[in-house]
Order: sequence, then C-alpha cells, then structure tokens
Amino acid sequence: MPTARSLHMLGVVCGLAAGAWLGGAEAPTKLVTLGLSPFLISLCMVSGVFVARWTLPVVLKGTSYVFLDLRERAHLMVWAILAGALWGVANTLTVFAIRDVGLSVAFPLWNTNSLVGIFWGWFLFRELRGRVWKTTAKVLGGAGAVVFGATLLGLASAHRAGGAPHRLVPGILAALGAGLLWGTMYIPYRKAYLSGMNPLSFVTVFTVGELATTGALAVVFLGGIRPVLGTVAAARPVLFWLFLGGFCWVLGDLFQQYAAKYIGIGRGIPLSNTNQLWGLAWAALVFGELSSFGKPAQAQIIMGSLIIIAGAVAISSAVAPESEQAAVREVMARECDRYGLDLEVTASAQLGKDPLGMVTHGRRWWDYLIVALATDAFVWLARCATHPPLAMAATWIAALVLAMLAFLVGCGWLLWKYTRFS
Amino acid sequence: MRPWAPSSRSLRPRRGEARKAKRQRPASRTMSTAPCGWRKFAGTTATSSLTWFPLCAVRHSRFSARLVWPPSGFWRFPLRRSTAKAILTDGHFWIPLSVLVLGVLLLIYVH
Repeated sequence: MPTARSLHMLGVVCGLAAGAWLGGAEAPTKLVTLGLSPFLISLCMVSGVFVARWTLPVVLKGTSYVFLDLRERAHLMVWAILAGALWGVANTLTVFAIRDVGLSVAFPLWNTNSLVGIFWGWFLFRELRGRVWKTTAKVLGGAGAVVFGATLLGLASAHRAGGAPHRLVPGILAALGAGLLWGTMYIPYRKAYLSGMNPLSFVTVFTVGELATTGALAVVFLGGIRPVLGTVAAARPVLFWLFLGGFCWVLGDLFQQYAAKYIGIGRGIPLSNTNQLWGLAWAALVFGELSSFGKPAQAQIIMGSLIIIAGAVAISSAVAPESEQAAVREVMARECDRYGLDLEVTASAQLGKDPLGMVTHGRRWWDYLIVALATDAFVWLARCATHPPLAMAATWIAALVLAMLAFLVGCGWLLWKYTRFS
Repeated sequence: MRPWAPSSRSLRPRRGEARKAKRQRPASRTMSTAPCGWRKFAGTTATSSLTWFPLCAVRHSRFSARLVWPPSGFWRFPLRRSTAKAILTDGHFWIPLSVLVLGVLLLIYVH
C-alpha cells in the first residue's frame, strides 16, 4: 500500500510531467504566425483534445469502468461540464488579452491562476490548514516564485508591447479574468477527486463542456457555422499538427489531474505551471526565437528559469503534515454526507486504491472500435498533412520529445505501480 | 457491479424463465427503473437481449442484431431529483457558476 510520502512524491512527479507535456503542447500554437485564426487553432486543438480524452481512458480502463464511475457519482458530471465551460471561456479570453496587450503582459497576469487555486484550496477544501506554517510558507513562496519567474520570462521574450493604448484596460481585464476562471476551474477538479472519482472518468465529461463552449464561441466570433467549416477546410494541411498538440495537451492535463488528486490544487497547479520553462525550451532550442536576444534579455531568461526551478523545489518538499491530512479527511466526509457516497470507498480511492477496478473486468468490443476510429482519424489527418513552413532544429525536437517520453513512461509506470491509474 | 448495471450476460434470461415472467406480469412492467434514472431491459424472450452503449442500444438474438435508438430512458434527466437538489444547495457550486457568468460578461465587454 502506498504511504502518504510516496503518494506525495507521485503527485509531485505528475505535476512536473504535466509541465513538460503542457509546454510541448504549446509548440503548435506557433502556427498562429502562419496567419491562422486563433479561434480556429483553439477549436482544432480542442477537437484533438476531445478525441484523445475519449481514447486514453478507454485504453487505460475501458468504457465499462468509466461509465460505472460516472453513474456512481452522477452529480460530478454537472461539475465536469461546468469546469469544461470555464476552460473554454478562459482560453478565449487569453486570445483577446494577447491581441490587446501582448503575450509578455498577458501571460504573467493569467499565470496568477495558481494563486487563485491556492486560495480556493485553502478556503473551500482546507488545504494548508492546521499549524503548518513551514509547509504553508514553502507552498506560497514556491507558487510566488513560479509566478515571478514566469513574469521575468514573459517580459524578456517580449517582442512587442501590444496593441492600441485604448485597448490596454480591456486586455488587462481579459488576462486577469482568464487567470480567475482557470484558478476557479480547479474547484470542480478537487471536488471530483475528494469524492473518489477517477481522473480518467472526469476528463471524459469535462471535454464535452470544453468542446461545446469552444465550438459555440468559435461560431459566434467567426460569424456562423459556415465560416467555421470553411476555415477548418482551408487549414486541412496543418490540422494534424493541431490535433497532435491537442493530444500532447491531454497527456499533460491528465498528469495535472493526478497531481491535483494526490497533492491537492495548492501544490499541483504551481508545479504544472512550470510548463513555461518547457515552452521556453521549445521556443529557444527548436524555433531559435532567442538567437536575436541581447545579453541582458538572456540573463533575465536564465534568472527567471532558475527562480521557477527554485519555486518548484520548494513546493515539492512541502509534504502535507498529519493535521492537514486530517482536515482534508473532514472535507471528504462532508462531500460523502452531502452526495450520499460511501466514505470508506472514497477514502480508499484517495489513497491510490481502485475499488471500481475490482468490479469491472476487461474491455468491450466497442472499446477497440473507439480506439480504432481515433487512430484512423489521426492517420487520415497525417496523410493530408504538410510540413509547416517553419524553420525547426530536428536534433532539439528529438531531444525534447525524448525528455517528454521519459516523463510519460516514468510517470505512467509510477501511476500504474502505486494506483493502477486510479 | 450494481444489479441494474448494463451487461448483456446478466440481462439475458435463462431458458423458460422469461416465458414464466411474461405470464406473471404485464408487458409494460418489463422495463424497470434503475436508481439513477436510466432504465434496465428485463428481457422478454429467451433468445433476445439488449446491450447498452453510451448513446444507443442493440437488440440482438442468435441470428440478428438491430440498433435501437433512442434507448428507453434516453431523454430522461440522468440525475435524481435529490442529487440535483444537493448540487443546487451546495454553496461551492455557485462560485464557479458565478465566475463563469462573469467570464462571459467580460468576453462580451472585451470583444
């Protein structure tokens, strides 16, 4: 049986793996420089996300498991759709924020989502409660360091200040709003895992809200269904790369979900926000974006990266003491009482056990069908794909992909060993 | 697994049992309501069975298979009234919902 310390380390590794995969998923957004609409990029990536979010749970657990889990905790379907809608609106707000004030200003503002997540974790789920000043200082200091380091990176990589001066206030509000929405999105996450739901089941419903909201917003902002379909058809040669980005994003998000489950949102979210480092690595090493930077900017980038790493180390070492674990158990009992759940089963799921795995066996034939259809979709898109006209360093692509795969295999193995993907 | 959980094996009646059950109860009662609001097919003949999918059902026998859509209970709200009430009276629920409304209003403003 995994101990509290081993589950903490598992959560930390999941948070770091989330950072690597979420950072890698940012690479296809480089296609925006080819003149594609940000709404189109967002919609296509979310479509890839939708396919992946239905395929991975089927591969790992099967539909029987997922649907039984959803039926046992039917109330969480509403929460999952709400979380998906929050993600969709926040993502669209970031598009406007980048347009109005530029990425360098917008990114640090929405990166405050981890501080919002820490607040909700403390306020609603009794994380960081009890006489745990040292642990609280490590988490708050670490999260602050991640935000500050990301701010330095954003400012250093600024190529332009942004749009027109009169758009400054709307742009800042959009970025802050995105941070608030993303930070609040972690309430349903934590709610689900304190109720014993498997992250794989949660994401299958989450993605419905996500795709519906992103699709609706694309239709509204692009002027109807016909223009959306027209732009999707025009972007067919690069659809594969966007779907692939969506797939990477799902892997990162799944690791983030497991981190939220095993170490809470206060610790898990700042750790996964290290994706900024990986995004920087792709930009600098693969796309050569930093070659034109002067010495001061390069020093600022190195300083920002070191601060982010120090913040991640501080959070990683902040193991929840017994008093905090007891406070979290009280919250779990509250959830079970409200929604009529079995406390023993819920607590065992929180400890990495898999009670549902004992009553569901094997796969149905349609599980294989779903996987085959998803694979076909990717193969079909790959056949239509063309090499994007971007200068890329193949050696660095191979190195970064290898690093991401190492995280995938290592973290996947640990999740299997300790929790059976529970 | 709960007794009402979909499973073609568990839903298939044994030889003779279905005929006996059919004699004892009216046809309309072969559909029983499951706790979560979905319905379970109890079986009417010894060779016909119903397999559930997420969004449809297949009625199949040894010789044929037929897609049944929508499956019974498809349009029913999948939450029990007590669960819906528990969600609506949960103070936590209104926080993300309010933030979502705020986000949509902000989106309208910045657009």
